[in-house]
Amino acid sequence: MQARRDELPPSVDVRDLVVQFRVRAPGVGPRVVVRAVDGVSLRVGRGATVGLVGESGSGKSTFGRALLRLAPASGGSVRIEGEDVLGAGHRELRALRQRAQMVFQNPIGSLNTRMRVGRIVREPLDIQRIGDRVSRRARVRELLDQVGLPRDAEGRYPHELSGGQQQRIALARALASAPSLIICDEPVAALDVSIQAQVLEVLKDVQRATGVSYLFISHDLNVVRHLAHETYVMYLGGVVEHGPSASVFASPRHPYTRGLVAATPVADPERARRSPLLRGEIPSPMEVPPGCRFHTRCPFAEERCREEAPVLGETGDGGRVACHFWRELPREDPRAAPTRGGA
Amino acid sequence: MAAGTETVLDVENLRVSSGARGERRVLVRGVSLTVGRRRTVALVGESGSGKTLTGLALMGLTPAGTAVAAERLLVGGVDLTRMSEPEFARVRGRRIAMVFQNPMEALNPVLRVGHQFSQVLTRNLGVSRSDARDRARELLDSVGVSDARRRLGQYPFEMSGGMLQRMMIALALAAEPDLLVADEPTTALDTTLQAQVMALLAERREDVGMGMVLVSHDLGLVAEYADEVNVMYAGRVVERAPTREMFASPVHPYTLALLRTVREIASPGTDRLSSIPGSPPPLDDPGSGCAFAPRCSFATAECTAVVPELKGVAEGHDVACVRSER
Ligand SMILES: Nc1ncnc2c1ncn2[C@@H]1O[C@H](COP(=O)(O)OP(=O)(O)OP(=O)(O)O)[C@@H](O)[C@H]1O
Ligand SMILES: Nc1ncnc2c1ncn2[C@@H]1O[C@H](COP(=O)(O)OP(=O)(O)O)[C@@H](O)[C@H]1O
Ligand code: SF4
Ligand code: SF4
Ligand SMILES: [Mg+2]
Ligand SMILES: [Mg+2]
Repeated sequence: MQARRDELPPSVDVRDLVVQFRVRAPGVGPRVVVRAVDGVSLRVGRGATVGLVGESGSGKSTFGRALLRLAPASGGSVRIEGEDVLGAGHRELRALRQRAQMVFQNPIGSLNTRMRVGRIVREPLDIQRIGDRVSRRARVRELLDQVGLPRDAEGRYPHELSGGQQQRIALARALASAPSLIICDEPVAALDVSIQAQVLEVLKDVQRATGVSYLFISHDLNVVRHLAHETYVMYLGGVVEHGPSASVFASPRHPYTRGLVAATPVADPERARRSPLLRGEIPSPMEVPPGCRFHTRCPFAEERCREEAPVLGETGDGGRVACHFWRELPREDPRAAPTRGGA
Repeated sequence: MAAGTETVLDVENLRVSSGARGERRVLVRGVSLTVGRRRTVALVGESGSGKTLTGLALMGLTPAGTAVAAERLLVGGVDLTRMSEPEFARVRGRRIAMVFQNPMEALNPVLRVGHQFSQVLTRNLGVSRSDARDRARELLDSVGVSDARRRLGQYPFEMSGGMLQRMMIALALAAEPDLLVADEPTTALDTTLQAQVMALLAERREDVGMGMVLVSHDLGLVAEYADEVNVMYAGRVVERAPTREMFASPVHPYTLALLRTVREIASPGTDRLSSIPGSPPPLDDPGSGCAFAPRCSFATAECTAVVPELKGVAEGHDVACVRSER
């Protein structure tokens, strides 16, 4: 089983993907080209969970959408289970969108609020003419079970259910066409901790039961570390670090990843308060800095960083990092810095 | 609270209800808080537990159709419950200020930011228009906005969330209030900006010498920035303790479950996350007895008989649970 899996093409294989938009600069400026995704390569193995993290505006959602051609790719290649997505015709694209589904942050925004839950979950089966009436009903029950919704949820409307339950409906619907990949864009960001835990467990259960793979987009490092086997860190359209989640978060190499880790709150008052390592804000993608795109905020930036863009290179222990000086930077845990913020 | 700290907020048995007489729905069921100068008191709890309503009630800003009552509501030593509307409005501008989750909602989208600063400053500080302009620049300086002149000429939509939140903090603190109510001030921001904004609030709290009520559902944030934590469930405070004590020895089953889940998510080794089964009751219908009973693994018949009251279990540590009463 394992051996056969390895021979199959990966669930997702993206090479040098570029997504650009033409936008008008604020005021009466001319139209400029914004590169929201600027040459990103990423793989998701079958049955694996891969995390994609980065600040708001770093291009995570655009990347996820481009995988299903919901955002316009202008370069690179995307393969889902070996099949070319960017060159796919109408019919092939429809088939691909059944095999790869998307789940969003705001469940209520993505559900038809005038339909009852049973119909919402059944609709993909109806559209794709999967099975007959009887088998579709049974399948809906099975799906509701799988995501931990009570049977009586079938007859209710989304707004009668809690945020966590709404997110489970979105997930059940996504699972209806038995996809092999689900792209989750901030699926638990709007939920309370205790509800987050419920939804995360459902995601894990479903993966164990069906072997589905996840591309899990989030800015919550704790959640990603918990769920994802591997993590990519994105900044201003590019990947700056990639590796097994355990090492990316325990010993981040890239100054940006270190800043993200240091900024993540820890529920432990005995720990020293984190100092905001990352100054300033992410620049507009209309003004991507030359050289290393992170140099305007990097505490370690040198002359070379302003001129030469670092490439994503192997670290020798399974990770990759895009920084000229990662070998020379201080090694300690960014959280250990004994700083007391404020006064 | 440490002896000798001056009290800036003292509220006793705060209640918020909505609806007309006869079909009145109680939403916040008796919250008491004391905040000292240069102290931060946090309100935490699940979505819908009444945190925002409590914060708004302190400001006298609850939505139309709601009613607020309290035994006592002292801000900077002045009792707001004995005030007329216009008096309250004056005090609100000077002694209490609020920062909201979404700065966009607090600003008028079609007016330049500088204009809105001028309005607030001339109204609350009674300064002239030209003085207001100078003051606005100083204020932006104090929150680390460098190109103040340009920023003041912009519209809200031209700025990022982090920049807007800095500006809202500057504006809220213009009159150097005694008390700042910060309702999820960083929830809409990335963790990187969150760290910057929280550090800024901590710094301004020291400089201005105010007390702060921090409303949040993020226990990590609270662990780092609050001196005392109040855990709310279904419109009541169910546990209150100094921050270190709360995280080291929580007592209420709800607090225990919440902290366990937060720690499990944060520790990479956890295989299976424990979560609290079910969901919180509607605020206006918390059931009989302890509102947490349907989800509590320790619940007994006793729990649904009476509403447990907040009782001291240690110095400054109060818990509302029948288990801790024995
Ligand atoms: N004007 C109103 N009339 C009736 N019910 C209201 C009113 N305003 C708020 N509520 C109810 O009170 C409850 C508590 O609201 P509140 O905004 O205080 O919660 P919260 O603890 O701040 O939640 P969150 O974490 O989601 O911000 C909500 O469930 C809401 O339905
Ligand atoms: N349809 C669009 N037109 C113009 N710009 C866009 C569009 N979609 C996204 N962008 C820009 O691309 C950048 C990346 O956005 P996004 O992928 O949403 O980031 P993230 O999900 O990481 O927060 C942002 O600066 C955003 O404004
Ligand atoms: S290449 Fe230079 S600017 Fe970029 S992350 Fe490394 S040290 Fe910082
Ligand atoms: S009073 Fe009973 S139901 Fe409520 S928290 Fe305590 S043990 Fe649980
Ligand atoms: Mg996004
Ligand atoms: Mg709220």
